[in-house]
Amino acid sequence: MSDESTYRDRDVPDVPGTDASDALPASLRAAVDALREPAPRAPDALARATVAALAAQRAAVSPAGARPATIRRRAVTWAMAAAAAIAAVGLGTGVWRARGTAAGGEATIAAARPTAEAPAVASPAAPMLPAAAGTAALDEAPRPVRFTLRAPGARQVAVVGDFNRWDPAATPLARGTGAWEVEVPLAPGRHAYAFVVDGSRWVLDPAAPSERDPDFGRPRSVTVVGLEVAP
Amino acid sequence: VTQPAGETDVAPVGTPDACLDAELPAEVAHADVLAARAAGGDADALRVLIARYHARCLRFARNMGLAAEDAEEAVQDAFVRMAGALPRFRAGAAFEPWLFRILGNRCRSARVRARRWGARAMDASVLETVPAATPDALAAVEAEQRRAAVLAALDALPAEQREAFLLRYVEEMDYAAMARTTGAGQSALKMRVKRACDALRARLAGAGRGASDGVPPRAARGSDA
Repeated sequence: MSDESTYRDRDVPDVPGTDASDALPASLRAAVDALREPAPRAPDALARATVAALAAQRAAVSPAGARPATIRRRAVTWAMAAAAAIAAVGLGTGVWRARGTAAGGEATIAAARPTAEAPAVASPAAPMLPAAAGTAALDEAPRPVRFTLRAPGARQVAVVGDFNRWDPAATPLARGTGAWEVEVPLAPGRHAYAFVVDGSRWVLDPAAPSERDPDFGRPRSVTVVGLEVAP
Repeated sequence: VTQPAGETDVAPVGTPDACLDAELPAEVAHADVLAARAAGGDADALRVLIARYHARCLRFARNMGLAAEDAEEAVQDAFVRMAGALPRFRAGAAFEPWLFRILGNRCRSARVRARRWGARAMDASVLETVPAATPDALAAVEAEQRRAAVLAALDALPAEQREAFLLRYVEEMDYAAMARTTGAGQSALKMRVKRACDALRARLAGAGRGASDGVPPRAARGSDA
């Protein structure tokens, strides 16, 4: 529990004075006023969006209805979605895998690297397609994402990220055959995460790109779920 | 509790408590109630929702750094995804954070695809939608120039800070709604907003001191009009 509170405190620190100073600074009022100006829009933009959304609503509320058709000003590159679907089938799995290794018992992130025996791993930038690839572009539903970490000496491993409020108690990994793993449903989009080993060590995923937390400066891994599916 | 249906000129939006049981016309119902109705198949409720939020969503997409065409496409995409996910919308849930969460994802996706962060010039579309050489056209151009200067400052911010700043001060969300929208904790969001304010103040002040003539004079754009 102490580890849990430690991580919560580190990731979501109190920011003294922000409540009291939350009012918009006077020097930025003109800037915000400019940003509040309505954006120009094409005369038919609202109508196109409405027609497309109504079709999506009919299809969603009445599953037997026609699939929604998006109305675009530019050519729809369905070929890209089809190619992505073929690529996803080629992966032979319905689960996008975030996979890496870490030396158990040692606080060394640098030594971690993907294992040779690991199954095929999709690039973090690759799309994760649900079973019905043809409807993926219209689906905001969470996709199952498998996080895997090789940490043979670890006693416990958890994944923390923006999807579980960086709570090390929320998503523990289970010890599998040769690696720790867990499957997490993630909404399409970009997600930042890291592994917490034995409740105290912050371990990046060596199979994924990393960045620094813009708020607190801590390194973290990044994955993107399902973005390229949409044409 | 009932909402006086006639008092809609100033705020044609009810509140969830006021209209959950009141069967108000769609035009005056709260967005959360409209979404619940739309989830039940009410097409009028969805039309009103889209009409109510389209301009705001488009503004947000533009402020997130998308070019005009990309912004319109991202907004349409967001509405389509929202409508397609309506069966999962729970009655009593907050619609607006949900919509902006979808829209934020669409904007990030569009930026990844288009690689159009930064490099913002005055948007020619403002000239397409306003007749040239009229006071309205000149005012629109000046407004767009002001926006361009602010957007250039926004472009220098990390994406998370930019989104947090826009949600807080332009879309005027409270931190609870922002947390539902972004998935980040409220303390982290306050930190992002504070840092965004500090950076914007410094950048805009620097631009004002060092380049009071940074915006091209109107005469230089005379050929546009």
